[in-house]
Amino acid sequence: MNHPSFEDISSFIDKELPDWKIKEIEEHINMCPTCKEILNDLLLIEQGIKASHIEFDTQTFTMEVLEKIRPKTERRYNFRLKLATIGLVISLIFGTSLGIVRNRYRGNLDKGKQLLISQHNIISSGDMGVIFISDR
Amino acid sequence: MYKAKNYKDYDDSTLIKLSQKGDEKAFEEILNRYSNRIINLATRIMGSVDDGWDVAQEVFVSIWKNIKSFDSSKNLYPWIRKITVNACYEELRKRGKGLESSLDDVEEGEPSIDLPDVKYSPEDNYSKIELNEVIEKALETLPEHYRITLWLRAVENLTYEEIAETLNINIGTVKSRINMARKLMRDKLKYYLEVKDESS
Repeated sequence: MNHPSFEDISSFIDKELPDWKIKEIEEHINMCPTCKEILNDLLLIEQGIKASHIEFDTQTFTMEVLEKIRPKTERRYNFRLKLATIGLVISLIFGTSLGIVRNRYRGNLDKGKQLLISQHNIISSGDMGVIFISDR
Repeated sequence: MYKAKNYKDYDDSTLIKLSQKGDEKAFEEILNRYSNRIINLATRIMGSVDDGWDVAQEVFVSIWKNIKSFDSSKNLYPWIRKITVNACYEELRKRGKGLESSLDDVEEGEPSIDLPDVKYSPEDNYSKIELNEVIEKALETLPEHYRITLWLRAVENLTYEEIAETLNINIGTVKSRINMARKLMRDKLKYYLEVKDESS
C-alpha cells in the first residue's frame, strides 16, 4: 500500500473511515516509520487539546446565574420585606425604650405626688396627674 | 413523586421536568453538571475566559427561560451545546468580529491568513516547557472555525456528523476543517514535536 494521505491518517484517528480502510492504514502504519511519526504527532496534539480543558469555579458561576434567573419582582419583594422587617425591629426597640423611660418617669412622678400629698392639703386634682394644693 | 431522592441522583430528563415546573434546585443541578463544559466551550469560541464566562451565563439564563419548550425525552447536553455555539457566534457578530469565513463555506486548500508562530526562545530548554501549554497556545492561534471544530472533536468527542449538526455545516466541511486544523497545528508545533521525539 502507498502512504496514506494526511487526511486519511486524520480520519483514522477519528475512526471516521470504513473498517477495511482502518485495517489497511493500521497495517501500513505498523511498518512505516514516516506515517507512524505523523500519527504520533497528531495523537500528542489531541492529548494536549484535551488537557487544555480548564476547571472553572462553577459554584460562583451557578450562584450568579441563579441570581439572574430570579424574577425581578421577587427580588423587589425580598427587598421590601427586608425593609419592612428592619422598620419593625427599629419600631419595637424604640417603642420598648420609650415605654421604659415613660414608666420610670411615671414612677418618679408618683413618688413626688405622694410626697406632696403628705406635706400639703389637696384642693382638687385634675386630669393628667395634675393636682392643686395649698400649704398645710 | 420526586422528593425521596437527592437532585444529584436524578437523570437529565427528570431535572428538565422539574425545571419546567419552576424548580430552581433542579436547574441548579443542571448547572452543576454542565456549566464547566459550557464555559470551556464558550471560552474557546470567544477567545477569552471573561467573554466565555459571560456568554455561558447568558446561555443558561436563556435555557431557564425557554426550558418549557424543551422536549424532556431528548438529550439535554447537545441542546445546551448548540445554544452555546449559536450564542457565541451571535455575540461575535454583534461585536463585528464575525467569523473568518461563513459557517456554510466549504474550506478547501490553505487558509488565506497567516498564522503567527508560537513564541518560544531558542534558549528554552524543552524540559522547561510543558508541551500541553504550547499546544494550547497554538490552538489559540488557529482561525476560529478550525479551532472550534477541532475542539468539538478532541474535547467533546463528537463524531463528524454531530459536529456538522452542532455547527450547521455539512460533514465534508467538518472533515476538511479538522484536517486543516491538524495540519496547521502540526506545522506550528514542529519544533516541539521534533524535540519531543528526540527526547523520547
